[in-house]
Formats: sequence, C-alpha cells, structure tokens
Amino acid sequence: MPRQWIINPGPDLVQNCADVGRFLEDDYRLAIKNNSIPMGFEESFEPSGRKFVIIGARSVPIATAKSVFLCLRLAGPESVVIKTATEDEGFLVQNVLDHWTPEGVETELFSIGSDKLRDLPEWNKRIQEATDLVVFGGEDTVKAFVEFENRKRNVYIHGPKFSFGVIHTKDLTMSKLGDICFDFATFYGEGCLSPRFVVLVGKLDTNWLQEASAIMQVEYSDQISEFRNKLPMAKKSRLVQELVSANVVYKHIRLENINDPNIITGELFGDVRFVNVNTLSELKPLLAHWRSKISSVACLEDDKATRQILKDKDVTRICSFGEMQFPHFYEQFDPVDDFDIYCQ
Amino acid sequence: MSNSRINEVVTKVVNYINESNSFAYQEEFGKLALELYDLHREFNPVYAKYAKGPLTDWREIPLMPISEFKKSDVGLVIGSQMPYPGVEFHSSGTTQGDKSKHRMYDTEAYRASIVRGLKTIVELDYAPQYRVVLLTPKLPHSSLYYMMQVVSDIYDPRGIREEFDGMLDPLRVRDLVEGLDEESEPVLIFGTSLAFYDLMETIEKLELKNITLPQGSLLIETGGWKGRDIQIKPVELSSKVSNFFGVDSMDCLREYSMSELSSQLWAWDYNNEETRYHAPYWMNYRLVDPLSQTVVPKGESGIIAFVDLANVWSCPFVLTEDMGHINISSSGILESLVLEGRAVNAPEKGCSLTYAQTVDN
Repeated sequence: MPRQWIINPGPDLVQNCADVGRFLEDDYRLAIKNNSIPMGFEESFEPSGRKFVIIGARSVPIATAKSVFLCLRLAGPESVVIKTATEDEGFLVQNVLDHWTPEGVETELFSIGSDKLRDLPEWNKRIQEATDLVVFGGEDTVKAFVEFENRKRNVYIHGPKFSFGVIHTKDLTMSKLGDICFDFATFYGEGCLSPRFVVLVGKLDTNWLQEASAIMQVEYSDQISEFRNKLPMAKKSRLVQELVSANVVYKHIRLENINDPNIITGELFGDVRFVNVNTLSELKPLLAHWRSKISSVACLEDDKATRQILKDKDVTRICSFGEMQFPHFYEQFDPVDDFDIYCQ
Repeated sequence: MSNSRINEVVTKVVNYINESNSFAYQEEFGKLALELYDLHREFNPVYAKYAKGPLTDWREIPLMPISEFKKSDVGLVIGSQMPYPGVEFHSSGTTQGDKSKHRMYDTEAYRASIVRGLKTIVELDYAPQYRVVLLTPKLPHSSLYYMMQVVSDIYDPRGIREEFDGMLDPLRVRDLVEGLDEESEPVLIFGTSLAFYDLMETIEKLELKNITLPQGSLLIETGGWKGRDIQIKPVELSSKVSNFFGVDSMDCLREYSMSELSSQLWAWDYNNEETRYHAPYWMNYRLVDPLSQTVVPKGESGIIAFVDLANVWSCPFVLTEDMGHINISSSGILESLVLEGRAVNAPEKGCSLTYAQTVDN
C-alpha cells in the first residue's frame, strides 16, 4: 500500500490556504508533509450511529483536519458536522471530507464566524441532534460548549494548552540550539504545540543567546518578516506594543523570568523565548500550577532528572527538541485524546 | 543638558501654539518637530532606543510605541535624573491593572494646548464666560480632570467649579437640572460618556421635563464605554442629551485624547454618519502600518500615530494602539480622523474607565 496523507493537496491548495490564512505556503506544505498515515493504520467502519459536531480552533494547521479524518475513519459515524475557525482550516477540512468520507456518512462544513453561526437555524439543529461534540478552543469557547453535555450527548474538550522545553545549559550544542530555534520558528508560536519558552537550567553563557540569534536571523528571519507583514493591522499593533514589554536581548531572542505570567500568555510571532533558572526545582511551581494546561514538553532523551519530574506531574507528551510541532500519528498531546474519542 | 536649552524649546513650542495662525505654519511645525526630535533622541533614553540619526524631514521621525509609558519613565533626563518633580498623570488604568505614567516638568505647554485647542477648533469664545459643570468626581493624577479644571478656571470666573459626581443620585440630579434651568449664562457641561449616560438614566427615572439651556451652551463628551456593558449607541446618547438640554447637535462636542498626549482632537455634530475628529495645528496624526511605520494608502485603516508638539517633556512621537481611518470632506480639502476602536487584544483604557471604576467602587 503506497504511503498516504491526511491531506491530499491539489496544485492550488497551499496557495489558496496562504491567500486566506495566517501562514505562508511553505508552512502549509510542512504541515501536510508531516501528517502522513502510518502503514498498518486499522480503520473501522462499523456503524455506530454517532452524530459528531467538531468545532475547530485557531490551532496549528491540520489539527482540526486530523480530528475529522480520525472521526471518519475510526468512529463509524452517521454524520460529521464541522465548524472551522479559519478559512484556511476550512480548505484543509474540505480536502479531508472529499478524500476520506466513507459512503453513507453525512457531512457538512461551516466555515463562518461564531457570531453568525449562532443565528443559523441549521447549525443550532445540528448541535441539538449531536451525540458527540468535540470542541477545540480557548476558555471562552470551552465555557460556551461545556453546558451542552447531557445524558444523551458527550462533550469532549480540547481546551487551551501550551508547550515548552527544558535543557541544561551544560548540554547545549549548536545542533540542539538549531532544533530549539526550529521548534519556535515553525508556525511562529501559533498553536498549542509551539513552545512558549525554553527553560535553560544552570549558569548561562550569553554567547549561546547570541548564537541562537544568529541561527534565527540566517535560517528564519525572512519567513518571520513575511509572516509578520501578513498579520492584520491590529495584530501588528499588538506585536509592536508587545515587543516593548519583552526583554529582547538579541534579534529574535527574548530572555524572561520564569515567574512572569507573560511567558505563558504573551505572543511570540516567531521569536525565541528563554528563561534561565539555577536548578530544576525552580520549575516545579510552574508545573504544579499549570499541569492541566501543559501539552508537550521537550527535553533531551538522556535527561533523566527532567523526565522524572515531568512524569511525576503527568505531562501528556514528553518529546525531543526539533519534534515539538510534529507529534507522531498516534502520539497523544492533549489530555483528551482523539483516539479515545473516536475508538469507542 | 542645560535647562536653558529645554526652556528655549519649550518656549518655542508654547509660542507656536499660542501665536501661530493655523494652516500657514506647516513649515514651522516641521522645524519644531525636528528640534524636539533632536532633543529627545539625545536626552530621552527611552525614546533614544527608537531614534535614528539626524533627520531633515519630520515625517521620517520614528515613533515610540505607547506602551513605553506603562513600562518606563518616559521623558527628558538631565544628567542622570529626570527633571522632576513636576506633575504626573496616570492613565485611567486597564482591566489588566497596569497604568501609563505621563510626567511633565511643568504644564505650560499642556495648558497652552488645552486653551488654544478650545479657541481655535471649538471656537469657544462665543461667550466671555460659561457656567461650567464637570460631570466627574475628583480624580487625582487624571489628565482629563486636569483639563476640566483648566476649562473651568478660564471660563467660569465666578470660581464656581461644579464637580458633580452624583449622576446616580436622584436628589442631586434634580437639584442640578433645576439649577441649570434657571441659568441665564451659557452653560458648558463636560463629562465622560458614562457620566452622561448615568445622568440621563437618572433623569428618565425621575421623569424630568426637558429644559432649554441658554443660547451658546455646549456639551462636551469624552471617552467611550470601556469597562461597562452599555447597550446604547453613542449617537443615541448624544441625541438624548442634546434633546433634554435643548442644545443643537453642532454644539455637542466630542473630545478624544489620552493621558499619554497633551493635545486633544475635537468632533462636532453627532448627526454625521461617523464621528470625525479634528486635530489642532500643533498636532499631526497619520495612519501607519505599525511594523514598518509607513503611512497606509489613503482610505485604508491603520494604527493611529501622533506627533504632538505639546508633549515636550515626555515624547512627542507616539504610536498608539488605536485604529482609525481618514475621512475626507466633500470639498476634498478637510481631513478628519475616524476612530475604529482598540487594536485586537489591546487592554481597555480611557477616561470612562476611570469614571466606571469610581462609580463601581
């Protein structure tokens, strides 16, 4: 069986996505390329009678599309209705529907704003009929949908999450630094798999920061500029005002305090953010406070001390640098796993 | 830096504000802007981060993001110290709890800007004096309150400064309205949108009859609805207020400024489809792409940037977080600024927030 992909792009798909979406053509290519279907993936088409409504969010490209794919190929649904938050994600989901909808499954895609959606009778009907609601989104979206759960309807929440990395300064190498920069630059800090910060444990030689800046400038500066120029005016304003508050030590490199709440909430727009601590134990309060919101943490494979702390806190996904944005097909990165939802 | 050099520049700015003749002095504006630029790039450490080298065209002067007023002490520094204490204004704060600080060594340029703005744009010289009613409680460190006081000092020589903070108090509202009904001199009522809203709510509850203020009376409204969920359009409120007080729509003014600036923009006639603000001649506004700081094409929305010469002490070159577009009059000559609100995710701020905080507390 030849290798297959969740998205099967025609000649214009990435360009169309880039025309209406946040990202650049190469970003969509990268996302599509990294979402292949593994050999031996066992599908299930036994009718379950379940009626799904999947509500997408402004996440990394394909997050919603992959969820739709799994639903179509695993859950044996009677119907799948999808609402995408962005137009580009709408194109990607439509591609999945076109290629992967089993015969007899009813599908419908709503790719309009939430405000308009509320006034659509057909949307409200779909919600009322649904047996399963799968919701991606921030706090507001979660609050809006959680009350739909009742004895006939399950609601699965993929709530707001973030990711970060941990590395001891003694373990830093140019290669590792390159991987870290790749994790930050890919999708420009957008989505829950993008690192919000990397914790540098131990005495920090600022030359490493300078090296990171050099990597960012050589490898990613042009794409970041293009991405930033593409931002809507209000977002550009946010970026400019945010940079004032950020501690930018070198171009594209921020160094901030682990106790600053901005390291979780502040947007990066492609920059790299480091925080420096003396010992691993300084990380524990952050893990304790945010444990339910942590998606992925990157660290070195042989960093047993860090891995143990992360396991103790039940971190959903522990991965390597350079792989943060691209979990394997079966890899769980949300406390609520799509496979658990669709394989019932 | 010597005090004399600052004084020299401040004096030039104040003279320009007080004595210039509006449209004829664009060249002088550019010269002063460049002079201020040189002063600030040399002696304002916060602005210096944004400055380029020497410039010959004031339009190329780099802008400083307004959030520096929250993060830093923005201003001229003598030796290692800022030339303070002077006055310090605070923004009305935000729902996120951080406030801007705007420091001035003295308020000469600020006062000149307030007074001249009222005279040249509002043409507030219909009457030699007004009875001034300020719909506000006392607000320490508020630039708006300071401005209201200046207006009251100038136009109400009887020394009566009505600081009316009881807009929700039926007895006080009744007293106020009855007092105004008997007034023979023109009245100037100055308040935030929320204060006017509360006043009208109370008036409606009391079912008071409309009154007609003396000819020449003015209503000045400032601020939006920040921090309160008000279900009324601004034009509806203005219409209600002007109907109740018997004031023509042309005499219902709106003021727009912020604590980080020293000058105000003014709009009149709420019947226009959109509120069109006019800046005084010592203040330039333009709409820019905030990343490149280049002016957006005509007709497009952009982030509002100001060159406010009256901001002599802090920073005259400010990139705001507000969006807007330019309206061009039917004659094609007169340009005005139309606000489109805060950029996405920018924290709420504004004069009405201060009022709301006061009332809610």
